[in-house]
Amino acid sequence: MATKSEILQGTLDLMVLKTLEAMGPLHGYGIALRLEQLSDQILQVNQGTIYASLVRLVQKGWIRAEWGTSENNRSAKYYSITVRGRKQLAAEAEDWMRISGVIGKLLQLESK
Amino acid sequence: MSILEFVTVTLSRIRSKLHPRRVDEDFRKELALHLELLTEDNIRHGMTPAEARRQACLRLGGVDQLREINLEMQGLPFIETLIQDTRYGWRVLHKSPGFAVTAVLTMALGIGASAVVFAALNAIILRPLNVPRPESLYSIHRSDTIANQSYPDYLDLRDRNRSFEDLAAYNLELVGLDTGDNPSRAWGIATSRN
Repeated sequence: MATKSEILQGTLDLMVLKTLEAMGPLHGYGIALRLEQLSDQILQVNQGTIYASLVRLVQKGWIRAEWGTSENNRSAKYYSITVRGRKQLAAEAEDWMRISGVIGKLLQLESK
Repeated sequence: MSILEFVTVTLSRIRSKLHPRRVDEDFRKELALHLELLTEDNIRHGMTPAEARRQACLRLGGVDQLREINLEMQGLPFIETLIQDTRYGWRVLHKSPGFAVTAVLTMALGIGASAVVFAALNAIILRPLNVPRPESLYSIHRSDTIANQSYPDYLDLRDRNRSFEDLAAYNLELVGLDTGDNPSRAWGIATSRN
């Protein structure tokens, strides 16, 4: 089982990017909720960790942040994926599939 | 990280640096909303308000620590440290001028001496000869103590040479140099014709 320290920074960034692509604009809490639902509580991280990932992604220009109004009329910062973010996601997803495919095959090798 | 990525990130950090207070204030509001929503969800799951709030704080992580990380990530750590160090150094030197003068003089002399030694070394040893393939140029001596070789020896060496492309002999000569109206003595080098 993955623990907090085992989750690589890059993996979290990729997950956040994919969540925003799939779900459209979300605020930080929304992203944290989606990630937890998706991973069946396997990824037990402090929800605050999401924000470091969001800062990194904004700085790279892959996502954009804008203040908007949330449910119940509260102001919230909404994050959405940019065109460059979509390109990056496509490239990283391909890399990830290729690598995980290789690792998967390797781990299934039967010993002789 | 590619160069483009580095530039984008640095520009973004500089932009944040111009409004450090707003960056922190924005983030504080963001975390406050996060806690609020998390607390409400917890209450909906049947917790008492106090317990819901406590669990929400645990789930999010320390707010102060998160704020610190956020400010650090949005700042320019290298340049900030450099400025702080420079200020501190200036203050310390200002407080003890005697030490400052001694230190400056010591360093000036040290740098000057090193520069002179290097300049000499560079001119004599390090600077490559101004010929093609200087690494294949060799000087042949019979021994360290005898300065001059005999000319017949040179002829023998040249005729039996298989190690070098060619051999030439030279000799240092004192010559008269006439550049017009005022002849002077000068050092010249006589070489064999090859």
